[in-house]
Amino acid sequence: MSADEREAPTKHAPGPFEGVGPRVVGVVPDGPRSVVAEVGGMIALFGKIVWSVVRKPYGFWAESLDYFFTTLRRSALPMAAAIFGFLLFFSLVVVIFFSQAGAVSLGTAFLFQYGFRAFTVFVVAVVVSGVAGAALTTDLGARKIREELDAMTVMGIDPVRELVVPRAISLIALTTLISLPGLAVTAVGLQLGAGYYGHLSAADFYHSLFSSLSPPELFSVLINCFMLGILITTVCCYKGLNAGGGSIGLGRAVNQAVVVCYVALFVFQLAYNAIFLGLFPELGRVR
Amino acid sequence: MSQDASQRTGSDDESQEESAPTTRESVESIRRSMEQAVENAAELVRFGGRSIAQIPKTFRLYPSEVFQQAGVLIRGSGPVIIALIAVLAVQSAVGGHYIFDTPGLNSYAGAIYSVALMRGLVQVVFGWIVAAKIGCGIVAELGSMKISEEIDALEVMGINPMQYLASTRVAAGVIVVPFLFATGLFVEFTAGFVGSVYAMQTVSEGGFFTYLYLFQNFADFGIALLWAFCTGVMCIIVATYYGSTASGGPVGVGQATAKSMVVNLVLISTLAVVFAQVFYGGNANAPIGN
Repeated sequence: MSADEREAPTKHAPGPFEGVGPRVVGVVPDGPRSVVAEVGGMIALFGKIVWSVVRKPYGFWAESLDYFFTTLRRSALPMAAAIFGFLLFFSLVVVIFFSQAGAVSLGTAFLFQYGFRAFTVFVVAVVVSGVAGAALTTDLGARKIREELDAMTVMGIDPVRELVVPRAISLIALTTLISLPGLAVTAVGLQLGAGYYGHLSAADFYHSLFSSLSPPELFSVLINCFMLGILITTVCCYKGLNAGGGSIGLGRAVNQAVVVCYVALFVFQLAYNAIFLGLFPELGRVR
Repeated sequence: MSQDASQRTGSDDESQEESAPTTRESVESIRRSMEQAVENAAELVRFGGRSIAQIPKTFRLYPSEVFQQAGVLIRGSGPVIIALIAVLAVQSAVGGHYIFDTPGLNSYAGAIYSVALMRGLVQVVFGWIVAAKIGCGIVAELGSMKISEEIDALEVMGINPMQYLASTRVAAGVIVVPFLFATGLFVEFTAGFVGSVYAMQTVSEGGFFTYLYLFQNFADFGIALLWAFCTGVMCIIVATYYGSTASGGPVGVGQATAKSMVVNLVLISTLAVVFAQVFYGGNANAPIGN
């Protein structure tokens, strides 16, 4: 009896964190391991959202619409100021330069293509993640800190289904749709710049613009913004749901959400542009 | 814009429950929120002016704290900023290749980096990353100090929190931002060189550097540095303001962080329009046609 008790600690069954795999994981330094863990958590969260939407695609659309409207009403003004200010300034600077080179009639068409592919999408994503994404992280993180999410779980309500899915859908839709007014502002800003500095008539500008623009490019912009919306939403929801650690925790969660969004966005845009232009090089050209 | 920001993350439940307001009530609420926005802006400007005015005193009283903050900025935020600027340059190399290749402007690829990027894009992107990485970090730190009444404790001990917390960070920003930006420009040119010459093979080495340096002179560099300096220091001032006025528990800290991000993004764009118009509006400063 007593001998059994003495031997018991040495002969216990292997626990969940023993074995080769966990030991290898334990050897990996803290930095890379936490990065992999965070990315894995984000992918798992995204999978959960998608599964929840696909399995029962009803019951959240009205709430998504409400949330979309709320987000738009609260952040429309700052987003418009940030996006349109940036695009106007960018258009003016580049048009001034091209008009000095005497290539305004040729240049604006390229500028529009280059501008919207690289920078309209970019600034839209940056501003959405800084304004609406940070607000989303604050919202979810505040609920986490006040232990509302735990209370929901105890009551048998899935926080992902009830809170995250409507917000995710509305933010993805917002990111995708806001690129269209962004494109319009890019066009108008370039036209104003070309008319004012390069003395190019509006008819010539829009003729060269529409003769070089093709539907696949617009679809590509929408697809790109949709993907960026998924990226921003997943990062912000993950950081909000995993906020914690006292009063500095929520601020730090928002900080990390925005920084991770920016890093992911920059790298994603580089990869997307390289792959898209590599696959369809004729779309990058002027016809 | 800030009345939007101040109510943005608040309570969506209350606003849906209340009955539809009459016209007079809604006009009244708009008027009140606009007054609040003007008041907030005035507070922000006053706070920024005071924290700048205290910088000499801060240097005399807390030099070690200033340099410690500068070290935190360099080690914590420098690599992220510079890496993202490098990614921006490589992305411009990819996009620029397809744009410049068709009309046979290949040899002008170097001008992407000295015209399109250096005259505003790098500064704006620099501002975004400073606002996100440095600014939000400062708001989270100062806000949690404010919430846990550490700032009041400093005041009781006879230390001016404005000097010790806000001005030290602004002074650190004043020291660090120009060097960080100059390093970022160097990295931008180098990454653009690698991207355009080796990765995309748009232009030869000599052609790249010819047009890179043909389209910029010392005035451009000075303008870029001034622009980035104003953007970066402004982001830090906005962040210290929102950090030291946070209230309402942990949730308040998160809301202040999000709010500072909104205000910074808008101000960066506004500043970009102003700088572009002032410095490049009438004079393209290019070696063509003048």
